[in-house]
Amino acid sequence: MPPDILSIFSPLPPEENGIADYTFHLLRPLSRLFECTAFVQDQNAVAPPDVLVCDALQAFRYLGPASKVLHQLGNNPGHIFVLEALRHWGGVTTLHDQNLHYLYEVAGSSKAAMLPRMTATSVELGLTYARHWREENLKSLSNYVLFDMLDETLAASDAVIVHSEFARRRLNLLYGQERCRRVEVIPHLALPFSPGDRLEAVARLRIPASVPLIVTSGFATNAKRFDWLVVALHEVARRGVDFFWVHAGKEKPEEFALSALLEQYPLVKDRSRITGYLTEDDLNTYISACDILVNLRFPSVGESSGTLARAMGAGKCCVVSHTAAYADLPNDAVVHAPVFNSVPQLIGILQSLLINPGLRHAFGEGAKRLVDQEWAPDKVAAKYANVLRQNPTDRKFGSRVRLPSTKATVLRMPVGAHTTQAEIMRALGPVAGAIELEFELESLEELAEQSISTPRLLTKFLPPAFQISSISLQRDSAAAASSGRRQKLKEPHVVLRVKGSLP
Amino acid sequence: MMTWPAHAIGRSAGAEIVSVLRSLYKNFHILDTSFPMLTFSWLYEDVTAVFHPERVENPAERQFYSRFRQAGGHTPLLRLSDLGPYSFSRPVRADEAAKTAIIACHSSDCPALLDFLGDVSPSTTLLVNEPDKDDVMRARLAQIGFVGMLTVRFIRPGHSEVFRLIARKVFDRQMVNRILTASKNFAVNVGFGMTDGDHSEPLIEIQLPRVGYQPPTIALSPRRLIHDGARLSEGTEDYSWLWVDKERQIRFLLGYVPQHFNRVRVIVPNAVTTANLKTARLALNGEVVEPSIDIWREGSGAVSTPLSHHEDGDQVLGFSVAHAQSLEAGAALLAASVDRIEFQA
Repeated sequence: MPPDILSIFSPLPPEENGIADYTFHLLRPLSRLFECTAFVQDQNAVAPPDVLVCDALQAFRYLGPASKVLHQLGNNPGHIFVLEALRHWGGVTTLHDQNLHYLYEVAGSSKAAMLPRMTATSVELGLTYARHWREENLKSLSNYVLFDMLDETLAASDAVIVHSEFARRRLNLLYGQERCRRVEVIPHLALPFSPGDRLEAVARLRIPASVPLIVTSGFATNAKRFDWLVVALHEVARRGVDFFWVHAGKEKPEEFALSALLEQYPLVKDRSRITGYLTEDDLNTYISACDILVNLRFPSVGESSGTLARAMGAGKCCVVSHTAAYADLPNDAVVHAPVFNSVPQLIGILQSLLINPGLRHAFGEGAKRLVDQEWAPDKVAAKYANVLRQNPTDRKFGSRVRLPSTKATVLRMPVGAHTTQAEIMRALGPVAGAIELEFELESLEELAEQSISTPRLLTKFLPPAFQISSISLQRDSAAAASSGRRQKLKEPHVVLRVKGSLP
Repeated sequence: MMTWPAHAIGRSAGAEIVSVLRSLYKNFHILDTSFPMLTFSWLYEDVTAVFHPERVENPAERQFYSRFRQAGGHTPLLRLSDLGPYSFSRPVRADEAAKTAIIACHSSDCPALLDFLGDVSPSTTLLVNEPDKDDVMRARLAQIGFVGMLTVRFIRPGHSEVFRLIARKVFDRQMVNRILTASKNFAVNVGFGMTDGDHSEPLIEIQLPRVGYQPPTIALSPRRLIHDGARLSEGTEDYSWLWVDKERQIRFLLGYVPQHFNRVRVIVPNAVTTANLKTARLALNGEVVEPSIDIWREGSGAVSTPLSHHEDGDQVLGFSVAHAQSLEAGAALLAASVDRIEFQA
């Protein structure tokens, strides 16, 4: 039997993007299980041998109704085409980030399209923040944290793959078990990496060989808690425990002024180096040389780290925050640093590890065992194959695209002084396209009273982003006759009919 | 949604029907509704591509073709719904006579065309590639004034291709004679008669050799190309070029590529550096291929690959390089320029 064909939509190297590297290394073992085609945005993308590279925009030439499709989706502009492909083709989606708000923004989603997505995460919060944004043009950092815009991915995907139990629990809590029943956990793969000789690497990097090397990596952001780490390292140095620390990555001074912080801690500055952006080879050399990899995150949105996985695969001792996805890692594979009262705890952890090579070795062995048994590319690819084969796509071209429905969704409900927008949205459910809302009121007088007491009455009732095309008012004597509630009324009730659409 | 596939018009006798048109009209332009096949782009210099999005069921495909612009990027694709106004307003040079609009279509496109034909200029002629005679359609066309009809049947050993010219005036004997005279240049034999039935109309049968003239090379210049790049072709009618910008890649819609061509070559006069030219890639209908790259001098050369004709449809050629840079301080980022796409038999 010929192998199944698998179409993967993902960035690939040379794009400087962790997900591009991830996909490249996942494709090697996947291409032994499937006949793989990588659909990319950049024709200069590089894939492993035996993997066909194709223009994502011309996927319509290659995909059939039963094609297996896999998307690698992350929260940055390099994934706009992946989001569009998911809308067109459905398939299985690996969610590398637990929040796609920024992606939706850079994808050019209109305010009208984003507003209803906010209520998908939380109806009450969404309504409030949507009103602030719609009416006052007020959008703050909290919008990016609170509204993850994952509802469409959950709805359009045949299955969603996340990298941790934390991520699955989070989705379950936010979106409910029904919408998350096809969320699967496949751990982040550890990129294949054979660490070189430590001493050789240390010599090549011109780092003092006589003291343990601590490495951090990636963009120096707020969440990586360099504020905690630098203070802890300062105290460790003050206690006479020596080390050298390299930040193997780039500073992001607009977010966190790492160099400026080091100026305040000369004991740490004298024992440290910030490398700037590194190629994969150079980063590997630092991992080969390191004794302790520190990968703190707080707050965390459930992200995973490729460098962490690589270091663990190399049998290095790793220190991570005891939070989110990192909290799921086994206790014998990493050292968990608490996120509360963190600096004193971190001092203790680092001091113990720096003076005790045996302890470092024990954690390194545990990490390597985990990686070999669970995170090796072959193991991860086999798990992907299971998910892909268990979630076949029944694809009819065009059906995945959320085109406005030509048939209007009709909702009729009584409204009164206490009716809320949330009630109406719950009754309406997750709909898009043409909508007719029929609000029943007791009388014209009631409508008049409500209009006076609640300025912009319709704004109170209508879902955010509802675009009104017409409003009409009618006395509904026929309905009054057939409705028990109406029979109690002395006069026919009134129906406020609002036609419009939701994106 | 009613959708139907695009048919390549004139696959067998495209060059010959263009000769027929040349014999009938001194000055004409072709509005080719067979998008994305666009056979006539290979055969005649004044062709406007007409896109009918409703023809395409798959939204991803519809979105893809909507990206393109024609005439080197200077003009959007003409929509079927704009045929009427366009047939009147087609710009002509001051020294040119007004051009007759020839709407080339397959018979399966006629139902969609009917809605718009009432608005076209009186001199507009329909060139319908019609395998089977459709009397119902004929009657409907007659209702909106298209009463004149002439059938030209090209017969090659093994296959034939039928075109019907349909206009608002009848095709007289003089016009028939012009076709008969012109066809002597390429025909093995020519016959003339009248069709059977209540409405008898002229029928010309032209026997063609097994294989007609197949040019060994055709070069498409940027000012005639349909592409999705952000920049417009530059230069004159005689020499033009097109820059690929910071996106570093561009797609050319070639339409139905004649089967006897087996290699495509993109001429790159300037890729900024030779190193950048060496990173060039081509993609045939989206499938990325490692091309052959000939370096001519610093930053310039040709990038080529064999053509595959396994798909009996349109072809889209992608071209990309790895880097874009400013040629001078403060100028826009540019990746490479293209001044010709050559097809070789």
